[in-house]
Amino acid sequence: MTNPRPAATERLPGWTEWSISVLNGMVGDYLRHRRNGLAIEMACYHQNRPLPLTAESLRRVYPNLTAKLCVLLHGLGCNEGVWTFRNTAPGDPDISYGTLLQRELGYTPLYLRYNTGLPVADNGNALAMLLDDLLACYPASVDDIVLIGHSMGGLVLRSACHQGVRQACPWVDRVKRVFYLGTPHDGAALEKLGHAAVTALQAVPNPVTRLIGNILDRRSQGVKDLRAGNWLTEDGLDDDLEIGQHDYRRAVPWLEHARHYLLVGTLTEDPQHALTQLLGDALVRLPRGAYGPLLPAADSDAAPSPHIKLFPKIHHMRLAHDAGVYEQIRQWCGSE
Amino acid sequence: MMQESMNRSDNGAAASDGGQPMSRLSIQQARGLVDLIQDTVAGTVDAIEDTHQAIARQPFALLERVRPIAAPVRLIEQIERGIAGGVYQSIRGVNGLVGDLATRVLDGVEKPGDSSS
Repeated sequence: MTNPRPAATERLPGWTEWSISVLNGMVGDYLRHRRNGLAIEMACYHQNRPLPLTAESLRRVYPNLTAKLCVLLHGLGCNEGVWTFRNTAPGDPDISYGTLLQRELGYTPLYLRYNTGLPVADNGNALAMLLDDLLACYPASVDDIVLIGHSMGGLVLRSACHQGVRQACPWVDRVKRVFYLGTPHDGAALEKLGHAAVTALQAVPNPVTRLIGNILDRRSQGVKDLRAGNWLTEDGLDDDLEIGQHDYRRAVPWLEHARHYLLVGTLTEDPQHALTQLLGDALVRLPRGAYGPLLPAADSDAAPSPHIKLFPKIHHMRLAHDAGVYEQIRQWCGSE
Repeated sequence: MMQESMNRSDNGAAASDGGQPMSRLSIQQARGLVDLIQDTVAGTVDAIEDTHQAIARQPFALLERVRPIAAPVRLIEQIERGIAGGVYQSIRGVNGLVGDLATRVLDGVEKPGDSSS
C-alpha cells in the first residue's frame, strides 16, 4: 500500500470486485433470492463502473462509436477484467479482444458483468433484454453484432439468442458471428464430478458425510447448469433424474443466420494426448457431442467444420486473453 | 487461475472522474456482506447442531437398550441436549447482536442520499 497505484489498476476490477464476482459465481442465486447487496446486476461496464444505457453516456464513453458492436461476456466467477491482456503495462491503455477489434476492425466493444450464479437461462433472458435496451438508445444504426463468450458466457449467449428469436428482439437479426471460447456445450466434467460426489455423500447414512454433501450442494444454480450445458428454462434439470436422461442439446437451436465459432484450449501440444482427452483445457473438455452446423455427430462421416479451432497448451482462463486466440477471432471477423 | 487476476490488481482505488470509488465496498455491498456473514453463521450453527444431535443420539440409543440404566441414560441425554442447545442458542444470540451492531455502524456511516453504489 506504500507504492502509488498505477493508473491502469483503477480502471480494472480490483480484488474486491473479483471476490464479489467469485462469490456471485458460488452462491449468486442465493444472494439474489435474499436481495443481498452483493448480488451483481447484469450491466455493461466501462472502467470498472456500470455504464448507464443512455445515448448520452454511450457517446461520452465511445466518442467514435460505430455501426458494428462487439459484446463480450465473461465466464463463471469472473468479471470483465478477465478480457484484459496480462502484459498490459501500468498506465498503458487496456488491451483486450474488444479494444483490438475496435482498433483494427472498427467494432465498438461492450463488456458485460453479470451474476454468474444465476441459472444460465435467466442470464440469457437478461442479456436479450439488455441488448434490446442498448439498441433502443444506441446513437447510431447497428448493422453488425459480434458476440464473444468465454466459458459459461457462451452458454448465456446461446440462451440469449434463442430467447431473442422467440421474443422477436430486433438485435437478433444483426448478429453476424458468435464466438465461444472454451464453452462447455456438452457440460463441464468438473461439475458432473461435483454432482456425483454430492449424490454419493448424501446417500451414505452418516450425519457427517451428509453434512458435507449438503454443503457441497449449496453451489449456485449457475454452476449446476454447467453439468449438462443446460441453458433453457423449460429444460431445467430435475435433480431426481440421472445424468444422461436429459437430451438438453436437442432443444437448443443455434442461431440460424449467424456463424458460430468454437475456440477450444488443450492442456497438451497433442490434442490426442490422454490428459487433454480427459481434462480438455483444464476445465472444459474437447467438443465431442453433436454440434449441429459445427461438428457432425460422432457416427457421421462428415468432416468437422472449419469453424472449430484448437489452441494447444492454452488453458481455460488464458482463452480469454491470448494473442493467438485474438488473431483467429480477427481473421474470422474479417472474412466474408 | 483466479489468483493470477487477483494479484494483478489492487484495492481501494478511487474513481478518477466523479461517481463512487468502485474498488471499495459500497454501503449497499457492506450491508450485503453483513447479511451474508449472518446467514452463514446461522446456517452453520443449524447444520452443526443437527449433526451433533444425530451423532450424540447414537451412543445414547445404544445405552438405552440396557434396561437397568435406561432411565439415567435418558436423563443424561436430556442434560447433554440442554447444555449443547444453550451453547448453540448463545452463538445465535451473539451472531444477532453483532449483526445489529454492524447495521447500526453502517447506518451511522451512511449519509442521506449516499445509499447506493
